Amino acid sequence: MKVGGYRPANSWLRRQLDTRWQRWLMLCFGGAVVMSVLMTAFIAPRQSTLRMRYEIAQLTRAVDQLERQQRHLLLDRESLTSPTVLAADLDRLGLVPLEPGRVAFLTQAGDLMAPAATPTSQPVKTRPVRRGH
Amino acid sequence: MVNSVRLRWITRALFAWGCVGVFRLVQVQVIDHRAWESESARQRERVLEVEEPRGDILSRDRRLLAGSLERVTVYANPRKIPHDAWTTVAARLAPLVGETTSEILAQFREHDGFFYLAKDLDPQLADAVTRLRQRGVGTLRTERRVYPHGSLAGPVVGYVNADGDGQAGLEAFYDRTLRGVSSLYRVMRDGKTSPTFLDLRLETEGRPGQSLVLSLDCRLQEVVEQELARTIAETGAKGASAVVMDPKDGELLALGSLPSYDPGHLGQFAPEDRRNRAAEDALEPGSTFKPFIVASAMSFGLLGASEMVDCSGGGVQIANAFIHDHARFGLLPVREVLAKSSNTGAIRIALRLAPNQLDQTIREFGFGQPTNVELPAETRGIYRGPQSWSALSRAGLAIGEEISTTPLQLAQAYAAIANGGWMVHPRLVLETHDRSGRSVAPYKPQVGTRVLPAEVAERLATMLEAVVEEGTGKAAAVPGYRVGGKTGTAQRAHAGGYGAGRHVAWFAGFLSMPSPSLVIVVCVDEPTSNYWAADVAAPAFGRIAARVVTLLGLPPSNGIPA
Repeated sequence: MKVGGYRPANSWLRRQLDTRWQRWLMLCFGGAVVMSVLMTAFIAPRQSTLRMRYEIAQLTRAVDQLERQQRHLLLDRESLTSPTVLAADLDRLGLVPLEPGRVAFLTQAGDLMAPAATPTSQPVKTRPVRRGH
Repeated sequence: MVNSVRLRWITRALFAWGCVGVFRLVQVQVIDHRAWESESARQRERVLEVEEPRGDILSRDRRLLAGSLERVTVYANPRKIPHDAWTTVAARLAPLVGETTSEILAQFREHDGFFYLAKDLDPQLADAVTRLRQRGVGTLRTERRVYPHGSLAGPVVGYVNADGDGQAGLEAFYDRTLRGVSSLYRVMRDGKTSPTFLDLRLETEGRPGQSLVLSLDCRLQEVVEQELARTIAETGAKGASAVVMDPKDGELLALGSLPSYDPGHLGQFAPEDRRNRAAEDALEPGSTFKPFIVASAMSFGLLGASEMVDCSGGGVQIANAFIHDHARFGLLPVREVLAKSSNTGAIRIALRLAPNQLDQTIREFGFGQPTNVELPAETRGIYRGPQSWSALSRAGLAIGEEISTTPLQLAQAYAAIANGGWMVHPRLVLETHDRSGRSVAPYKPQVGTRVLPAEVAERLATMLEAVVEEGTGKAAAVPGYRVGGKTGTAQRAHAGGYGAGRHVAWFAGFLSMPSPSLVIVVCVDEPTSNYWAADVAAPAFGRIAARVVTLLGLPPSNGIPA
């Protein structure tokens, strides 16, 4: 049966909104905040430690390198100032080693004692046996 | 309607599966916990053995006689490098190892497996090679032993082989001390199994090699070697050796042996030049042995210091042999028996001694036994006891025959005369210290044993002073210093007899009296131009002594209050 002139009106009905998604959003946001805090609290120091370890490794390498250079220089200095090298230079320059007769000594009483002068020897020029340097 | 029977079976099956799972978990997590943990560690970690550096050898004036340098060896294995990548790899390696691409390629073709591409490179190259991340190419850390002073004290310092093991001299004797103990490190590996060094954990702590501080003085060593070289050049000798020792505590200030060698360039030297003549050559001491005959007779009360000894006859008849003297003497006081080096006098003194008395003295002075100096190849010399003696033996010993001694043994025996009768053993190492310079085995003064009464030692030293003042040792004199000593010219024993024209010239002595602080022994082996010790060994002693006292700043004897 058709009722004329009647149009059902449901304007009194208000569409009910589903607001549960907001709760989920809040939960996700909260979760993200917690995760960020956790990451900041635990992971960041670890990252920083890792970075420091890289830096330490680099510095250790640099220190090792410097120590090696120092060692090289030490050994070079030793070979350049070796008594053998200096003695050869002495010969080349025509100098003779100091002899006891040319050295004066102080006695315990404080007097300077000069032994009788002795003739100086000629520089040694021949070294046929020793090789190397 | 669910079939309850089927449900029950499913439940049981699930429960059983759960039980198996739980059991497996317990097995993995609890029972086999350690095994899995180590397996996990094995996969993500690696244990690296790091060899600790070898210790240094320093002289007493802190000169570095031997030290180590870190070096790198680059290796390659062409079988692990894809063939089509050879050219690229060779081109990338070329600037690093200092070879051309074609040279490296030739080596790739020549070798079927692992080979050393380049050795003795700068350690910085190791990083560059590692950065190539090329399979089949890598680096090994090595160490190169360096001897900055070349041949100076070469036979004393010794050398190491390619693996860094000590082979001679102090390098061999103190190999374990110098070598140290390797450290073990646990490192984390990256995805390509290469160590990252980010998590470096010490697994087993090693110990760097300890360093030795020697009693040798580089300056004195140089003086000794220089004068020995001069002696060899002047006399045409085959070799020469010399010992400079402090008689109070046995410290060896110099130990020269020529011909010598540079431990850093071994290949350039003949094997026979590698021995330390001062410790390894046992030779008859000749007349340098006479003071010990006199010492023995005086110690046993069989000879007075001012007694006259019959040196007439130009020699002595013993059994069927006549032992000649080098000159005809008459009656001589004991001091002149030594000053003139009379064979007859020395033999007649020796014949007063019973064999066991002479044997006791010879042994007490350390002949026939090693001095225990820190050299691995030291010889004990040759001395046979009275049980092997013939009728001629006491006479032979009186003139330094039937016994062989090293220059080191003779220096030890003369030190006992010089220091008032105390036997001290020669030593080369003063102390041992670690990498930081902290002393590990500090210096310990040596306690000697008395082998000669003090008054006998003093009188004997005075007699030996007469040898230098008026006897055969005049060339050993040092102006301003009181020197005591004895010459010795011996024939060189060879193939069971004495080789014609082969001699050994000795001079053993000390200065400066009355309280000598240096004992010096010079031994010249087979001089050719002139073999008399008075002309060969005594001048060398004099030159060495004169330069050594100047370098050490020892005041002259005359005019200085004792």
